[in-house]
Amino acid sequence: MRRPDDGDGRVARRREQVLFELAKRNKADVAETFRAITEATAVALEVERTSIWRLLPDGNAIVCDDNFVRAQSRHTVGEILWARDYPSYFSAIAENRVIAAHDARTDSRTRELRKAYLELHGITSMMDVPIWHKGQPYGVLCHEHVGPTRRWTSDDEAFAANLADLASLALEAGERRKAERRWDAVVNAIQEAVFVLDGEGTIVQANPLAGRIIELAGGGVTLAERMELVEFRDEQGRVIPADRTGGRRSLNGEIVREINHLVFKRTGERRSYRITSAPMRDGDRIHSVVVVLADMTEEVAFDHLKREVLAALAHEFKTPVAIVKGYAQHMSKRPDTSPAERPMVAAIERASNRLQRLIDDLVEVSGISLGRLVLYREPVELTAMLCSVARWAAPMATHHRLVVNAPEAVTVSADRPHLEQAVRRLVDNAIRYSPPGADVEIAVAPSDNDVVISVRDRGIGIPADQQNRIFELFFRAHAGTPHDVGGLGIGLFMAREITVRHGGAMWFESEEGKGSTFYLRLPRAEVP
Amino acid sequence: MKSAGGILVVDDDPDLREFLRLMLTSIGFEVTSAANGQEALDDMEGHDPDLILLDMKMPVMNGWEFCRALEGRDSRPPIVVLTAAPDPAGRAAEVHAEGWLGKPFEYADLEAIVRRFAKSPAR
Repeated sequence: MRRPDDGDGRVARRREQVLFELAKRNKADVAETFRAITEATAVALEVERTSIWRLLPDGNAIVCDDNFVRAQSRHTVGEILWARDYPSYFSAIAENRVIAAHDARTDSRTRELRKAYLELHGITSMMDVPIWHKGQPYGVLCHEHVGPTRRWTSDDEAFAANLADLASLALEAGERRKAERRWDAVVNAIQEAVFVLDGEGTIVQANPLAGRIIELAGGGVTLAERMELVEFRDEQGRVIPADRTGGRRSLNGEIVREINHLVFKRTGERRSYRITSAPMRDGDRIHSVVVVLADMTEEVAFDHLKREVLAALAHEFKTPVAIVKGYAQHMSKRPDTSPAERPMVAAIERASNRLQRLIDDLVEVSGISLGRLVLYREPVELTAMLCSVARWAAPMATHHRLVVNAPEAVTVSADRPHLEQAVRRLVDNAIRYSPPGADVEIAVAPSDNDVVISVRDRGIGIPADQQNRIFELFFRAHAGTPHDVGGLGIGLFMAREITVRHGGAMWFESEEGKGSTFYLRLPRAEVP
Repeated sequence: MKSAGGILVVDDDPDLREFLRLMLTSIGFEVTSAANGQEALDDMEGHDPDLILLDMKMPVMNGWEFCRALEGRDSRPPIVVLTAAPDPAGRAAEVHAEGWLGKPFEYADLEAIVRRFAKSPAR
């Protein structure tokens, strides 16, 4: 048998060449890389059989992932060796060191393999090198020599160890690729467009839906191109400048969630998206941004239509109500209306007033939710305003005691009718949801920067599980309960919208059975 | 020679026109009515009202167009805008009207504003 001759360094150079070729190949396909490794090592080490064995998780067996037989130039898989049959061999493997058995049939570590394995394949010498994966033993790269016994040199061992390292790299690359594929499958399947932007705002990754948006825009991979091709508008329709887009803000560390309208300049098409963008960090550094766009065009259009219809409907109700109410008022003033008719006429008038209030509410709420609330600010003295609210509420509060607690005059800059309406809504609720005889206290508490108006009742309170929805439009906490006093569920929504538009905030404390306190905070600044 | 005085009601709703006619005549005013801006202009060919009660949303010729048609004239009667729009005062300001009433209106408000501009021969 010809021994590798290192006299002129040819063997060493060939081995280096093999390592170099294997190192530079793409290792993402694990099975293919394993086949390349077994072939290469068989040729470079001139070994008849080379194989990669995987240790099963419980360590009870090794399974052959690939076996290359040089004479037949053939790969096989599937052989299994059990620890119970070869305990010494398995304890040697468990030591995670190179097993260089020059004479495999007599070596204490491998001789149990003699009958069933070594003689069957004509193997005389064996060298096993451990393969590691994620810091754990994965299995062995096995070299099996046929013919006269062979002395494994330290160069042989070193070369085999290098190939075992390449097998580890292949396992890692394979794992990475599996994870990437899983992630790609998720990103490609979701119903949102996903973009990854680099530090310059250039799109470096886009899933198919994101690709379609780029197509719609006719390009726009860099931020500058994008701003040329697409106009970004905020929820109110105002143009968003390049440095205020969600992606750009996230590059400065912000997590942005908002509705944007995108106008594609090429076609003039306008679509609405819920945009979520978040920075991706590497330590303190933000290296890229992920932007997710959910198409909301239909929802936004439908929502707008709903509110437009609401506004139009309310408008159309007004003339008929004017006629009913007009005649009722006219008849109540006529001397020839009979005493028997008078209560009927009064009932018609009351009913039409109620109808009118409902219509006014609908008009107001549709106006606010369409963004049509315009505030006309003026100095408003709150004590006087709260007294006016109390006077307004008095006819409804015949069985309640209204207390206004305002120790000093406080003036804020506000839209008087709207602010008064917000407080009226709170007082109206306080009266409606508290038993006869209970106090309703309206108070004002100024501090340096702001002023807090509070409305407290000793009523039925808001159930804890309803509290987080209390400011939602059309939400009624007591709907369908014995405490249901009717209404549309718009009072608190409106009160809070008005407060927020004034730059203030509204919140509450409530305990079921004990009552609720609503707070309305307004900034004190800017009083002319 | 044109006749003068009274109130011209311009509204496309016949029931509302009839109600306003009944109500205003019952307190002594003379009332003529028109279903839209064009009819009102036709009526004004032979008649100068003291006051026009004007709806804004009407077919054929709406309130804005009617006011524009009157702009070129030397003088025009005072106009009170009568509208179901959410911001009646805003509509009134758009056409430089002398007053406004939101629909549905209070009987007392209607009477008060009408008395400010129109003479009632019965009183």
